[in-house]
Formats: sequence, C-alpha cells, structure tokens
Amino acid sequence: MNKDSSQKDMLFKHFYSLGWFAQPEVVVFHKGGVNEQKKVITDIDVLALRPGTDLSWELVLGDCKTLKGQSPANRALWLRGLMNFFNASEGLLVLKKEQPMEADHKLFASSFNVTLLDENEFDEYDKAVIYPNGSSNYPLTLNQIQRLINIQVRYPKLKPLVEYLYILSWNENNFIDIVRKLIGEAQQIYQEIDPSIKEHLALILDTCAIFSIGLAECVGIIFKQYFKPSTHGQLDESLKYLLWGGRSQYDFVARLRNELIAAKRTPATPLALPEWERFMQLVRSLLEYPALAFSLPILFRNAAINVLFDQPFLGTYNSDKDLLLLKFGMLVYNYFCRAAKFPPQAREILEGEFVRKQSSVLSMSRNASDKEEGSQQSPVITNTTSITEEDSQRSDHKTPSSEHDHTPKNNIQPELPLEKNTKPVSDQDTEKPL
Amino acid sequence: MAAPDDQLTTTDLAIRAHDITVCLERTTVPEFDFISLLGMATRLALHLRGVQAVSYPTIRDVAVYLLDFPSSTVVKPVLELLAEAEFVKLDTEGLTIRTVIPDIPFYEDVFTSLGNVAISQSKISEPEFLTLTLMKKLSASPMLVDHVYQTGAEKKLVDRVIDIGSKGNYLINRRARGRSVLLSPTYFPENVGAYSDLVAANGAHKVKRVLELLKENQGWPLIKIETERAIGQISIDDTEIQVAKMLAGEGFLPPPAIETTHAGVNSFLFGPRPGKTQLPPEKRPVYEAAMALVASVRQGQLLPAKYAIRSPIALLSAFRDRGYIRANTEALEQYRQVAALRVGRIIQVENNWGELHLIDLPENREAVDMAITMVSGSEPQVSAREDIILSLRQGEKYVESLIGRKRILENKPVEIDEETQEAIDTFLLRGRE
Repeated sequence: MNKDSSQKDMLFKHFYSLGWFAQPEVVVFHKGGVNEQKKVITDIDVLALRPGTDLSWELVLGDCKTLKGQSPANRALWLRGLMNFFNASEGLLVLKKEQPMEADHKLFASSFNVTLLDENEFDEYDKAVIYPNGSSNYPLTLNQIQRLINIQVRYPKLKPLVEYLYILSWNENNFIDIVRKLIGEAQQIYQEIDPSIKEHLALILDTCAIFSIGLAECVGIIFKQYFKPSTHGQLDESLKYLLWGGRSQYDFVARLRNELIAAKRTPATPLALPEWERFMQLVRSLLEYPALAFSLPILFRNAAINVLFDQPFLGTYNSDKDLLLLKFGMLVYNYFCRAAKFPPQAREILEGEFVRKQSSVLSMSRNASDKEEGSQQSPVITNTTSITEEDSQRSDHKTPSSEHDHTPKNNIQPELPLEKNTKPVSDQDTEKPL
Repeated sequence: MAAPDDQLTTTDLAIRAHDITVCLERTTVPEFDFISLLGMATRLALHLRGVQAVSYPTIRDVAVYLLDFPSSTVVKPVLELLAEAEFVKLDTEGLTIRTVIPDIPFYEDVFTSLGNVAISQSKISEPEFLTLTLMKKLSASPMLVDHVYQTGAEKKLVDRVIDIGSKGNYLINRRARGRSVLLSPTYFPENVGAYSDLVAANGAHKVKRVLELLKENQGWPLIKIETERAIGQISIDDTEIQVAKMLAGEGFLPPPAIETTHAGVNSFLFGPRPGKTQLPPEKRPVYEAAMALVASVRQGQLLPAKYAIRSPIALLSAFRDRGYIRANTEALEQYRQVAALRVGRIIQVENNWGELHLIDLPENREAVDMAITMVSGSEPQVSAREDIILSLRQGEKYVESLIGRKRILENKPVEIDEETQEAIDTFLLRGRE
C-alpha cells in the first residue's frame, strides 16, 4: 500500500459522501502520443464527477502529496495544470505537513479553484462540509475498489474490459464516447462471462457504472436540445449524431460500414448501437427525470461492491424516493447486458435482484404508511366514514366533476410524499445477500 | 375484396379495442373477451408510462376505480399480457403479484406490440372482428348501415354488434333522409345529425375522402377549395366540393373565420374534432386555440395580401421557441382571433406593423404544439388521464387520494340479446342441450 493511501481513502470517502462518483488512481496519458505503448505521464489520486446544475458532469481532481522538496504553491500550480488538461472545475490538494503551509499559499491556490489543506486540517474541513459527522464512516473504501480492479488478476481474459474501465475511459475526450466504446469492449469479452461467478457479476455492475457516466451526459444533452423529443425520428437522429460525434462523422462511419458490408454481399442496416430501439426507449425513459441519470454511476458501484462482498443488494436504498432510480438502474442493466451479449442468466440474476429490491422498498413504504395512519387520532377516522358514505352516493351519479377531483378522501391523506422512512420493517422486508 | 387500408393491422386492433373499452366504461360484454383484455391492457399501459414501481393493490385500485375496469379479477390477466409484451416486470410470490415495475415504451410501439402479443395469445371472435373492423371504418367517416350488411356478415351478427355498440355508447344508429346511418361518437363527438345527413345525401365514400383530405390539410380555406377545386394538392370533384361546403354550413359548428380588408371573410375547414379517447374534455379549449392558430397561419400562407408564409410549421416552431412572430403588415388582422383567445398578444410596432407575442403559459405552449401537429397532418391517437399518470409518478399516497372518492362502484352488464335469452330459457326448460 502507498504511503499516501490513507489520505486517498479520506478524499475518496469525502467525495462519495457528497454524492459524487469517485475513481482512484486515474492514470493520465496523452491520446495523441507517438509511442507504440501508451506513455504514462502522471496519475490523479482521486478523480471525482459531480452532477452540474446544467445536466452535465463537472470534474473535481483530488491530490494527496508528501511534498518532498516542493512548496505547496508549486504543487497547487501543478494541479491547476492538470485541471486545465481535464477541463476540471475544482481541485482539492491534501498535503503531509512536513513543511509549513503559509496562509498566502492557500489564498493563492484558492484564486484558481484549488483548495489547499494539510493532513491535520482535513478532518475538520470534512466535518464542516459534511456536517456534522464527516465522511469517515462512509461504507465504500479504496480497498473495495481495488478488489474490483484486481478481478483481472484472477480472470486475465477480462483484462481488456478492466483496462478500459479503469484506465482508458478516463482519458476519453468526452464522456459520450464511453457509451459506444464500452459496449464494444464488453462485446469483446462476453464469452468469458460466467454468471455463476460473483466477481463477474460485480464487474458487469461496475461496467454499468462507467457506462452510466456517458449515458447521463448523453441524456443531459438531448434534454437541453429537445427537452423530450416528440417523435421517434427526432430522438433517433439526434442520438445517432451525438454518439458518433456529429452528423458528418456519423455519415462517414455509416458509409464506411455500408461499403464493408456490401463487399460481403449482405444488405446493410443503419449504423446504430446494438439493441438500438431499446437504447432509444432507455434514453426516452431517463428523459422523464434526467437529473436522476447522474445518480446511476454511484448506484451501480454500490451494487457492484454489494455483490462482490456478499452484502445486501443496494441495502442503503430504502426510501420510496429511490424507486425511480432503482427502476432506471434496472433498465440500464437490462440494456447493457443485451447490448454486450452477456449470457441471459447474467441479466436475469441481477434484474431479479433489482425487481425484488423495488418490491421490498415499496412494501416497507406501505408498512410504514399503514403504521403512520394507524397511529392517527380517532376523530379523523370518524370523519373518513362520513366522507366515504357521501362519496359512494356521489359516485353513483358519476358527475363529471368527481372524475377529476384531486381532493384527498379525508384528513389523513398528506399532500406531500412520505418523509424518509425511519420505521422498523417486518421480517419479510429484511434484505438478504445474494 | 377489402381495400388494404380497410384491413385491420395489429396497431388498429389495440387502438380500436382501447377506444371501445373506454366507451364501455364498466359495462361488460360477454362476447368481448379479446377486445376487453387488449383494450384494458392498452389503457393501463398508457397510464403507466414513466411510472416507478407500484404495488399490486395500488395498480388494481387505479384500474378499477379510475380506469373503469369492470372488476378487480381482470387486472391480473391484463398485467400478465403486459408482462408478456415486456411492458412491465412483475414481482410475484406464488400466484400473487406483489409489485409491478412498468417499462412502457414511448412513441407508438405500444399499440403494435400489444396487438401482436394479444393476437398470439387469444382468438378474436366473429362479433369482435366485425366490431373492430366497423370501428376502424367509422373512425374515418360515418357510413350507411346498408353497407355494413353488404360486408358479408350475417344480419343477426350485424344487428347484435350494432346493438352492443349503441348500448356501449360507441355507436349511434341514426335515420337521415330515410336511410340509417351509423357513426361513432368516439370519432365524431359533435354534429351527429349533420354528419348523418351529409353521409345520407352524398355517400360515405365522398365524405370519407373529404374528411381524410381535411385531416391532412387542416385549416384549408373554403374559398381555395371552391376556386381551385382541390384540398391541398389533391383535386376533388363537384360532390366533394359540395361536401366541403356543407361542412362549413348549417348544422356543423362554425369553422374558424378570419376577416381581412384584402380578402374579406374566409372560413377555414378542419377535420372532425377529436373524440374523448383522443383528447380529454379539459383539453378542448387548447384545441380551439390551436385551430385559431392554424387558421391564422393558413390565412398568411394561402390568402396573403402581399407576402406569403412559406412554411407554416417553421413559423409556428419559431413562435414557440422564440416567443414571437416577427412584425408584418398583416398581423393585426391575421392574428386577431389568436389574441382574443389570449394565446398571444399583438404589439403594434409602427403604423400597421404588428408582432405576435406568445403569452407564456403552459396551455398556450401546448396549443402551439398542437397547432404544429395539426399543420403537419397528424392527429392524436389516444390520450391518457394526466392526473392519474402524475399521481402514479408521485407515489402511492397521491394515488390513494385520487381513488378515495370512487370506492363504491356499480357494474352494468349489457343485456343479452333475445336469441341468447331464448336459448338459455330453452336449455333450462329442457334440462339438457
């Protein structure tokens, strides 16, 4: 383990607690490099993606350094350079206190969006930002992510996918390219996937996490472009151009493909992602609540860790407000498994988990709601009876106005969704590991 | 032999079954197994679009209390049909459905897919097939009852189908000019008498052609139809011109008219207004506003004083996206009705130059969208109740409050026909078949 690994873990947990998707040890290389083998230039200790207010990702770079022979200001300038390269919005630099850090250094760094902290200050900073407990108890750890990455050691045939997931995808020019390329990478190794091996299932889930980064960006752009495209053709065209980097690029690749196919004397279908209709429906579903697409990567990463470590499947997602996110997760998983040609059993096993999870959340929510109503005072119950009788008479007449009446049936009905569920749950709702 | 456009496609099956089911409300028809199942499945699917996981009891209550399913026992087979079409995922425990997770496709796929699955699972009975075929024909135009008898179906069957339709509120059999005319209030909700008269006088074929041309060219000026003997680019004969003139005449709701100093008063003709399965009653004012907008742009496109509108769709799209239509000298007269309906505001920029500004309200934006749809020649196929969809999306508590007032229901089965009654009586009297 590296000497700054505890600092990285702190940063990692801090970012996750803020609801940002974080990736440790991101290797940086130049895409236009001339070396036959990609030349590693540097690495980012923790790279975080946070949902911006304009339905796009913002990058935050986290760096932890021992600062040997370098001043804090120099290190901050180095991070700023890296931020420029990645077009990142913010940087967080945690340094070991081996030499004094001047207040002016901090001011200087903050003037270009780099927060400079020494190791001893981090705890206080963390607790102030994530008030009051900080992020130290966040369940996800760097070691767990490392276990995911190390799957390739035991299953070397999966290495191309793992390499794309944890190295190459982070060096793409834009997130949307990930959507297309990741399906291709997954199709390369689909024959190696064994649904009975939990590591393989965990890797599929983490693949969906990275896939969702590109998908969310894609949904955000389409939403800003068309809001909700009114026709099938509009969505079809705009998605294709977006995924292939514009109309001219799409037309060029499509022509190339058609010529290749024609050479084999088979009729060509239009250039599109595998399972195109399903992908369109998936994007259209996400457009109903596009901001939620930006929560999918964390959902999938949590699911991957749960599966890998035999934890209850998405055990922390228990509110009825999570239901739509869980459904979106299920739809993305379903699409990706089909597009990547993974064995149907791999899809069915975890899709079943998603279904059971949603059912369990709903059941918990209903139980809590029943208990809540049961604890209401008796005068309200009297009121219910009298209104119901009156209503039954009204419903016999079927007046047009009653058809669209939104008035709650009695005083028990709240006007707003349930508060976060804090009630105990019955045995049948208890989460079980896979 | 039936023309290809008269043949039922799987999409037609789902749309017509949906329309019939909506009109039947809680009425049950013993002969309508296929129509009921497919119609209810389509209706439920349209209300589950974009909805998160829902518990079975909630779905059941929505179906029975809000969507007028005849009883809770039909909900399960309907959900199983939706699951077969991969429109929902079901979490089951033995035979009990616990949770329903909808994944209803957007756009039109829902009708085709459901129609395909339904037809692969169950057979369409003779009365159902005749009913669906009739509804498809009646969606285009009313028709003479004599022509229904000429389709080759048995007279008894035709009579029974018409009888069920009349009692189920989706067919009207009306006398006009000494002939019986059949029309569906689902597709012709207004001017029933006038349409019957129109068909009796001119024949269903002519009326159908004119209505189809008007649907493709909504808001076409009557004066252009008369002088150019065409609707859009399609030529029409004298009888069809007569039909078009009658559509703007007595008995029909007056079409939108615009008075200008250069062209006088002109009426703009539209196809039949959508029925309740296509457009909910609360959207009527939006539709009226859309008609006024279409009439205005048709005036500018086809009857301009000087400069014609080249692309009505582009103009309306710009109006929606930019919020105004650039100043011109005809705006004051052209958009007077649009301003009267409070969709837009005319701002006089200089002398007789006026700009039309959109009054930015959701219903006005919807009216502009609807106008764009109308100008492009398409029309809404089916509609869903937005209050139900919204409450389902917001969570179960909201659904409960919507359901609260509709707890106690009454079923009203269709009376069985005389022949069946007689057969039952005979069977009971004889005690054997």
